[in-house]
Amino acid sequence: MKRKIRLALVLAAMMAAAILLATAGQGLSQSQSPRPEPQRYLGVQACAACHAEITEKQQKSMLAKAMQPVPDCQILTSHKELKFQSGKFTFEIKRQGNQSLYTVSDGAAQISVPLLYCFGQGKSGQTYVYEYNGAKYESRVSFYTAIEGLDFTLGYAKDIPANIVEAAGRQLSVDETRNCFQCHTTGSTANRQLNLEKMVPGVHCEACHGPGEKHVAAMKAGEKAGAGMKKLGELDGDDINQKLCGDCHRSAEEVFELPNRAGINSVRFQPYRIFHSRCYSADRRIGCTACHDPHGDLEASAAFYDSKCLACHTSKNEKATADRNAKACPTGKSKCTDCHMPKIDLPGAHFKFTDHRIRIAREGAPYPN
Amino acid sequence: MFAKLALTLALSIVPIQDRDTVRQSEAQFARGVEAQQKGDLDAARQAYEAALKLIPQRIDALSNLGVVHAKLGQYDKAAANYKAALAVDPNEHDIRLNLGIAYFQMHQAEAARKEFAQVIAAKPDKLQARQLLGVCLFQLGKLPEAIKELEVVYAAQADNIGVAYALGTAYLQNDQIEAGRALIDKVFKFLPPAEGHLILGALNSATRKHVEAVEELKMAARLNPKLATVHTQLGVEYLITGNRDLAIEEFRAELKNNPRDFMANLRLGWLLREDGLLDEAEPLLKLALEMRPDDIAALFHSAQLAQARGRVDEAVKMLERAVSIHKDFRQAYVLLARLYLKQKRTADAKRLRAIIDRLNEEEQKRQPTADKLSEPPKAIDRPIKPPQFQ
Repeated sequence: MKRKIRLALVLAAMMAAAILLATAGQGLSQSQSPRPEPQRYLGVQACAACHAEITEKQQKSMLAKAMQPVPDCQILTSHKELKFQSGKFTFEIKRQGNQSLYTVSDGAAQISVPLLYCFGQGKSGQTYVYEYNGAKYESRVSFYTAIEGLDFTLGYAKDIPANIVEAAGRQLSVDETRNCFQCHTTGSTANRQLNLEKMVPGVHCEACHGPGEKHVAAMKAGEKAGAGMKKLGELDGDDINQKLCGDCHRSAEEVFELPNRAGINSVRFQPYRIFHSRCYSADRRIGCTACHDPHGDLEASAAFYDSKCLACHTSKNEKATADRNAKACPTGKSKCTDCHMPKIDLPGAHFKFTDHRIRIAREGAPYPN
Repeated sequence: MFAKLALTLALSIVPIQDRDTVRQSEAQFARGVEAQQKGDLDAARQAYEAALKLIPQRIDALSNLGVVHAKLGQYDKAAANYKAALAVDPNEHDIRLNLGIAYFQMHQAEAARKEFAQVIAAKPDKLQARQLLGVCLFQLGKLPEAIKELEVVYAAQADNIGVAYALGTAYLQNDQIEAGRALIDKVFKFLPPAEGHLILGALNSATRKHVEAVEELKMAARLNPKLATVHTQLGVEYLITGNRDLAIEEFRAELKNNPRDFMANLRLGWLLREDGLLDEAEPLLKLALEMRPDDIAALFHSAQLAQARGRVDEAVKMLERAVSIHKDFRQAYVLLARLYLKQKRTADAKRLRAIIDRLNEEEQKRQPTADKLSEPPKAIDRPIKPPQFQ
C-alpha cells in the first residue's frame, strides 16, 4: 500500500515555535464572578452606642493611634521644628499652624511639601507620607522617640539618593499605599480599593471585627447578640497569630517573602517570631490576644506577663495537671520574659524590640533567624 | 463435517471480499488525498473516514485524517487518529511528531514533551522535534533542560531566528542575562515590532528594570493585543511594581486569548484567592496545577485555597507533595506545620519546625546579619507591605 502521509507542521513558520512559547488558545472566555458589595464601616460612634466602655478604652490605645493626620499629630505638635543633616542633604520639618512642612535641600536644589499623614503612634517612632507630583511618598527621615529627633527611616541609611526628589523620600506603589492605609487606618479599603475619604485614622473596632453595617441592622431588627460580626472567639491561637494579627504584623509565611528579613531584621515581625517558639501551638494561650489586649495599651512590665506563661507552665514544685503541664523554669520565679523574650536593639530603629521567639536565650548565642 | 465445509467456504470467499475491500478503500483514500491537495478538508475527511470504515487499520488514512483534523483545528480528534496509527506501527516517528504537535496545540505540554522526547530518542537529528521539545520544556518551567535542547538546535541552525529567539528568552528567564542579550541583539532586527517590544520587556525585566519593562510590554500589547504571553508578562511586571489591580486586568486579558497560559492562571488564581474570590480562583489554580503538577507555587496556592475552603486534608496533601519535591520551600513547611497543629498532629508539626529551623540556620550562615541590615528595599516579584512602627 502506497502511503501518503502528510505532516501537520503547524509550527514550521520561522518565528512561531519561538514566539509562541505559550500559544494562543481558542478564545474561551473566563467566568468573572462579581465582587460582593462591600459592607459599610459605620465608625466608632456606632459601636459606642452599645459598647461604650470598651470602645472608650480602645480609643485611648496605641492601635487607635496607629496613624494620625498631620493636624492632630501629637509628635509634630510638640516638636515644632525638627532637623537632620546627612552629607549635603538637610531635612527639616517645621510646624506652621496645624500643618507641617517637610523641606529637603542639598544646598542647590530644594523640595518643600506639606506632610499629610503620620504613620506610627510614636512608641518607637513615626514615618510621614506626603504627596509629590500626584503620587504618595514615604519620607526618607522618621521621628524616633528615643532620640527625640529625626533619623533615616529604616532601610534608607545606605541608600545614596540620585536627586533631591529621591532624597526626600520614596514613591509608594499603588499596592504599598493601600497596604499602609489598610493596616494603619479603619475603613480605608473595601474590596481592595483604597478610599481615603472614608478612612478613619488608626485601628478601631471594625478593623478587626469587620464592618458593622450588618451587625447594627441585625441588632436593630432584634436578632441575637453577635449577629453579623466576625466570629473572632472561634479562632484558634494560630489563626489569631497568623491571620488576625499576622495580616498586618506579618505572618510566618509572609516574612519569607521579604527581601530584608535576614538576621535581627525579623524581630519586628512578632507572628513570625512566635511561630518559631518551641511552645507554639494552635492553643489560644499562645495567641497574641492571650498576652495583649487589643482594646488597651501595651503592658510594659515583665511581671504582668508571668501569669500568661503560667497559664501553661507550672511553677517549681507545682504538680502538673492535664491542662497545665508545661515545664517549670528551673531558675526563675518571675519576670519570665526578661530571660525568655529578650529585647533586641535593632540598629537604626532607636528601639529595642521584644523578641517573640520564646526561648532560652543564652549569653552570646547568635540570634536565631 | 458441516463445520469443516463452512470453514472451507469462508476461507475461499474472504480473499475475494478483501481484494474488493482493498480496492474500494484505496479509491476512497485517493479521493481523500486529491481533496486534501485541493484544500477541501471536509471532503478529504469524509473520504478518509470511508477508507477507514473498509480497513480500520490503514495507517496512511489514519495519519492523513489526523492531519485533516489538525488543519480543521480539531486537535483532540487529530490526536486520536495519530494514536490509532501509532498503535498499528509505533515506529512511525513522523506520526509521533504530529501527535506531539497536536498535544502542543491543545496546551498539553507534558504529553507533547513525552512524544517529542520519544521521537528524538529514535531520531536524534530530528531538529524540529528537538526545537519543539525545548519549547515544551520551557512551558513546563524546566529552563535548564529547555536551554540544553535549544542550544543543540541553535548550534546546527544558527540562522534559525525562531530558535535564537526562543533560546534568548529562555536564557533571560534563567538569569543568563548576557547570553540572552547577545541572542536578542542578533534577532531583534528580524522581529515584528510587537515581538521586538515583548523581548525588550523580557530583557528589562531580567535586568530588574521593571519600570522600563512595563513600558515596553505596554507597547507590545498595544501593537498586538493577541501576542501570546504579552499580557501575562505585563501583569507580572505590574505586580513587581506594586499595582495588583492592573496585574489582575492583564492576567484576565491573557486568559481571554490564551486560556491555558500557566502563569496567567496561577497568578490570577493566587490574587483572586487573596481577595477571597474563591469560586473564581479555584478553576484557575486547578488548571495551573493540572498543567504543572510539580510547580511549587501552583501547589502552595492551591493548598491555601483548599485551606480557605476548609478542606484541610486536601491542603495537607498538596503541601506534603510540595515539600517532598522542593525540600527547602520554607513557606510550605510553615503552612503545613500550622495545618498539622490544627489536625492535632503535634509531633509532625514539631518535626517540620525543626526542618524550618535548620533551613533558617543554613540561610543565616549564608547571609551574615550585619551585611543585611538597613539595606534599601529591593523589588521582589510580590507586592510587599511596608514595615510598621510600634
